Amino acid sequence: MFFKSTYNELIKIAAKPRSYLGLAAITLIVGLILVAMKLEGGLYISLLTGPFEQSLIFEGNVLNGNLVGFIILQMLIIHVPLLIAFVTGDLISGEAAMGTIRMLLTKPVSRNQIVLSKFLAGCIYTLIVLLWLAFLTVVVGQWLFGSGDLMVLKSDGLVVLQEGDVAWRFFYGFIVAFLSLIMIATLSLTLSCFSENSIGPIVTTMGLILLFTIIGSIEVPLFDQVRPYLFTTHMAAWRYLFDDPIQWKDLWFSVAVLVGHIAVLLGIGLYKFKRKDILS
Amino acid sequence: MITSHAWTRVTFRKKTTSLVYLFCFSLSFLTAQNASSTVSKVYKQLQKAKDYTADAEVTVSLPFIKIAPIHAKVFLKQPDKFKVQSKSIAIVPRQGFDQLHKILSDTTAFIAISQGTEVLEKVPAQLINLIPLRDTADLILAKLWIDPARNLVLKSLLTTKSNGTILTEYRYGQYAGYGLPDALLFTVDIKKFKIPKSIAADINTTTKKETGPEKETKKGKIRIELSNYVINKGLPDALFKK
Amino acid sequence: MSAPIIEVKNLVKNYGSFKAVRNISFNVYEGNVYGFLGPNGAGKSTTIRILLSLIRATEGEVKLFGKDIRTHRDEILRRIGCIVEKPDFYKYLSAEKNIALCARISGAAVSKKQIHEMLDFVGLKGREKDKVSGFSHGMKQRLGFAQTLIHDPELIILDEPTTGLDPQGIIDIRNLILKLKTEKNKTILLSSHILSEIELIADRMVIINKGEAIVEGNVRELLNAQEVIVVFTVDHLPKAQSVLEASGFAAYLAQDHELHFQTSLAQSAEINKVLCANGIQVYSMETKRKLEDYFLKLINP
Repeated sequence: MFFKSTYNELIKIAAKPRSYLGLAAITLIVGLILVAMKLEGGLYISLLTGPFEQSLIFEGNVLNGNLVGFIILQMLIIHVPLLIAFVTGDLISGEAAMGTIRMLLTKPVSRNQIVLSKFLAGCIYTLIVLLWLAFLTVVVGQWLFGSGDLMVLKSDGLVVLQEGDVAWRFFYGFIVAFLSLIMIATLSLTLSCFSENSIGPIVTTMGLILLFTIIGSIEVPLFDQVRPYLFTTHMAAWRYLFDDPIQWKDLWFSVAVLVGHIAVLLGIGLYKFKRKDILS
Repeated sequence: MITSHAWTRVTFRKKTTSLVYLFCFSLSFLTAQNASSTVSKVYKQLQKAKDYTADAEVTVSLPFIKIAPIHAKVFLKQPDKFKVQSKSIAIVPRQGFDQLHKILSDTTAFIAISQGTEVLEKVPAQLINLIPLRDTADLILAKLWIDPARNLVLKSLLTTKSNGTILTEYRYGQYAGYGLPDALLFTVDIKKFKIPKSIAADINTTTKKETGPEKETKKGKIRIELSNYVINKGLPDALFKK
Repeated sequence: MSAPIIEVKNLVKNYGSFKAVRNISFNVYEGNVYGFLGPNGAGKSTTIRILLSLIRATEGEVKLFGKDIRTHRDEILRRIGCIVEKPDFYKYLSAEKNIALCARISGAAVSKKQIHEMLDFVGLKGREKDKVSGFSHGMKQRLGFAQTLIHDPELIILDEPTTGLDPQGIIDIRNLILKLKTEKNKTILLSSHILSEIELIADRMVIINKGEAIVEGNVRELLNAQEVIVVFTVDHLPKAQSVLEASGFAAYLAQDHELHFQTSLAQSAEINKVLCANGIQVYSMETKRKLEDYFLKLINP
């Protein structure tokens, strides 16, 4: 029954116009960035190499598909989670608003299975969005800009990763990014269990992301204790894979924090939904 | 009243002083002539290779930059065409390989002054300063350590307005006869790296305490090993177009 | 009598200090249509939601098919079809897809042909591919029946199924329910605030008000046609009163040109005869069942 329920959830997600809004938004944003980089990518390269230009020159295909792909992923760090929350935040509260929650909960599917099947469907949707993003950034980016070494700009320097050493980083980077997005999906789904309308969970998710991002970027010792455990601190954990050497300890810590958040939030959602009186 | 004895002493002193001045002038003239001659010989040797292609292995050891060694190809065509071709990103000194060649090509633009000799790895090298004659010249000062026996530059310290100071050490092998090195070791100055956080790839980190004053400029090295020279085979100008 | 399909014992539901359901008990037997009657806010929907595990009871016992709903929820719900208040659907899906979705999680392996047959049964033939967003209220109600019945449940629970329907729609739904009872031998729990609706369909009923069960029993017995309330509207009230009292008929209420009698139908004809014979103009004679009157007073205090 769990997989039948999940299949139902996927049908519902596929039929909702908002599901395609996210994909369209990503296509548009990435398209714009690709065009901009094609026209003015040199300026961005100057930003990267500017501090060294008095003494050094950088030869080779600096503005390549790998770099453009990396830039796009970095730029979309806030946007993609919001697009995910837009769909997953509606999964339970949207049904409550529509009234279909009554029908759903009078079927022989346990409440836990309902939440878990919505969670799984949300994960699948997130995966589709991420795969589409990966296609646009990596495949289309490579087609437009060619391949080459990846120059990663950090606050304390440049890391140049050789072309042959980049593909696996992108692969695992996307896996870690997927985990970050699942975390957002879980957050919005859990908030959805507390709400009777779909706007509340989406706006609350956005608000929390912005609030924690701000806390994370204010360099005040007061926040240093809290910062390592905020999920926003680890949403960009995929970037650890683009360092040399890779800080594996930090990466695994980020993965653990994200998995921990997912588990706790899912548990809260399951508990809340199981005990909820359906009055609407 | 000046006695003849006193007059003799004065005259002797004057004559000695004049002789010393004449000697110094002659010496400096001769030295300048000597330095110019040395530089000319070096340049003449460099002129033997009108163009060349070589394989290069570039190893970078710079503060603020992490990059693995890469393979590249270098192309040079006299008087002023130079290109590095690489599939990977290659970081090379801005002054390139041809900077010295460009400086030496215009003998009216500088004066060469010998500063004595210095032993570099058991080779007695003549230290020659090239001082620009024009204020508008890009060159501020060039110091060359030249092996006079082989007419090879063993080390150079070039300071230019546009590119700062770069120290280059040369190692020669089978292509010494053309003045073409097997290896170049560049020492460059890198300014302290500062970049806006908004475009940096770092993720949120905890506040780091300042451990002490940091130098604004650090030094880094770039080693380029050259091999498989193909000399004077003719390179088209189109090759150097970007 | 066989074991009841639905057993409710001492059911209580509190929301804080507010007591929505107070100690309700009733049984529903196989093959019966059971009426659940009460004014708005009486606790009908709350009780039904507890039966369907949409709400948790504060106290009491609820058993369906002999099993506790709290511990055998999935097993029980597999055998139930229901409409709770108005039926809602996924507006962005077609009628056919909505039914397919329901069937899938009801545990029924249903083909497209069976879905079409069901839609035909509820009067939605030709509308299978249409999106529900374009359906009228009546059509949604029919579709609600389709999703209730698609997995062939043994027990059907209908919470105010005729709400918002036009008179023809009400008749259609009523006929559908009767069909389910007579042709398919379904057990039906039907809640409503309209007595006539229950009277026409139900075998047994309970009237609840303010969370309490007021009266429970066989519909025919409760709505005994022999005992009626008769209201005569006359031109001269005092004269009518005295004439009737002289004939041995005493009204239990006389006001505003109206005389109220609690009597039988036969006697009401006699009263009418006496009035007319004594020159009293009778403008109208309204007959109500005792229970109906009581219920109307409940919903219109």
